[in-house]
Amino acid sequence: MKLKYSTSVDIIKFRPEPAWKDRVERWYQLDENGYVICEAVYDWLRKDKMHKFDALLLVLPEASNLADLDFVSSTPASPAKFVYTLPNIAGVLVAQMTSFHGPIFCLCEDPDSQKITLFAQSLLLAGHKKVFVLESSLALNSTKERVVTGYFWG
Amino acid sequence: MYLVGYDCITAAGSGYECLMQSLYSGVDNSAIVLPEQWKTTVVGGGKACLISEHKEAAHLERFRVYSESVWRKLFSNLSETAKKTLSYRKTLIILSSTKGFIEDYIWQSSEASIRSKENSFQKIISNFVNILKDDVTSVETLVISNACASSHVAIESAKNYLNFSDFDSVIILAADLIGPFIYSGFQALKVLSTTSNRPFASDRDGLQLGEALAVLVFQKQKPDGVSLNLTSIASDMEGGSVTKPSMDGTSLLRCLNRVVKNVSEFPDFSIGHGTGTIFNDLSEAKALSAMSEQFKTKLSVSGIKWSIGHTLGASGALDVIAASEVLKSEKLFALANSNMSDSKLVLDFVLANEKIRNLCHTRSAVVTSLGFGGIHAALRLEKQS
Repeated sequence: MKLKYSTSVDIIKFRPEPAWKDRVERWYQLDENGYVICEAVYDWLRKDKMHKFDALLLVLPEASNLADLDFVSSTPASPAKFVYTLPNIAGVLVAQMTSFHGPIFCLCEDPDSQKITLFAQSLLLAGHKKVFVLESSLALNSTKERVVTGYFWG
Repeated sequence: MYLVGYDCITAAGSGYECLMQSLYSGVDNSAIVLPEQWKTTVVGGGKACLISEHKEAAHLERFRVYSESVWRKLFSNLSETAKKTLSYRKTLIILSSTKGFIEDYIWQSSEASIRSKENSFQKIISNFVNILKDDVTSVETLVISNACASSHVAIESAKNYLNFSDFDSVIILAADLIGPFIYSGFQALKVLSTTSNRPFASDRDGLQLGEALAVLVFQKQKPDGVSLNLTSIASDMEGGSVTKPSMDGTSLLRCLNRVVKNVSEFPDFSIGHGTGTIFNDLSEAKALSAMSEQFKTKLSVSGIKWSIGHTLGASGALDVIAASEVLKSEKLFALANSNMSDSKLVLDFVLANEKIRNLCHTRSAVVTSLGFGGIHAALRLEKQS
């Protein structure tokens, strides 16, 4: 079974204190990717759309390139910005929002592709009960919002 | 799944033989990074193990040269059966990396170009597919980036694909370079050693970075003769902190327990992640100690980062190569810069004074990995006759 949810986040209007601020370590230092993922996961938690999962598959086609650019543009080098220059860091935020611990696979691939389906299926065949696929591209939609999509497989 | 071929290039030189020669001879390949090391000035003083060949070339060019030379040598050493499987059956190629090979892209990009859905890794992996085109026919690709545990996560994915899909081979290309971006980041985190890298030592003072490109070939089919079977692998994200592992090693112990589950024989040795930072080594040693206690024995532990540096997304693949060579030779190299182990870490470390430990009837090894984002992983490799 595959369940799909999408949430659009306006990246211009970063709220000074998001509703999920107490759930995430140093929320005020998050990069854009981390922020929108937390917004989306919180939205699904609030609407009771989050299911219990035992494997997390992050699909980030542009990896952490925006955080990377932000880091190399900062002088002096900022340790707080450096820690977001790895795409799998977004997984820690999902874990902190949902109290998840377990395997995480971070793919830099196109979202909703045959590759992602095959990967998720291989995890289910390997014994995982439910796989949470979280896809987030840096591209903005027609209303200049970031779209985050979550799938629950299994 | 079976490890049927491997090779690499590191600061020790081109070929896994150079890596092993360095490890067995106690050669530390590091040098102090100078402020003018790269085009972008950095705060010098940290240690790094850099590949000297083609060091002036652009990152993509270095990737092409290194991956081509590593692949050509590896392929020529493969058995005819392994070559035939690559020629006629489906192969998955997994790139395991952090950002060593995309540094140039980041420095030259803009927010607009990054948002244009340009996948910076695709150029790299396409380049490699092109190098392989005469040897490997039916190919699909994947890019995995799980911090310093990328290699282990790629190997775990490879095992799932070989077990549960119609792929017969998986080629893992694990690679990272060091540039001003990565170096400055680790320098900003204040985790770089300025003396020498001493994993698990009482006086350890940080890590040293390293450059490497490694290729591992896994296949479903058991090869003839002595083989290396990757029997089990597990990864786990604890989700507590972005950079610090839990001090009790809980998450890594979960992985270790999964990889030695149903195994009656205690692993003969471990190639530890051992970065030389206070937190990594403490957390890792606690997990390895807890596993040892379950078997009521002390585990022999060594590592390779004191010689070729922490090679980030490639580190796990290099540890697997080193473990494979130790399984074959039954000689475990020492942590050649570590003179006295930390008394808080209760394991049987192979320290500098021992130089080489002779192992008898070596059968299996565990290889551990830890990365930013609270990711931990362990795998078990078994020699089979």
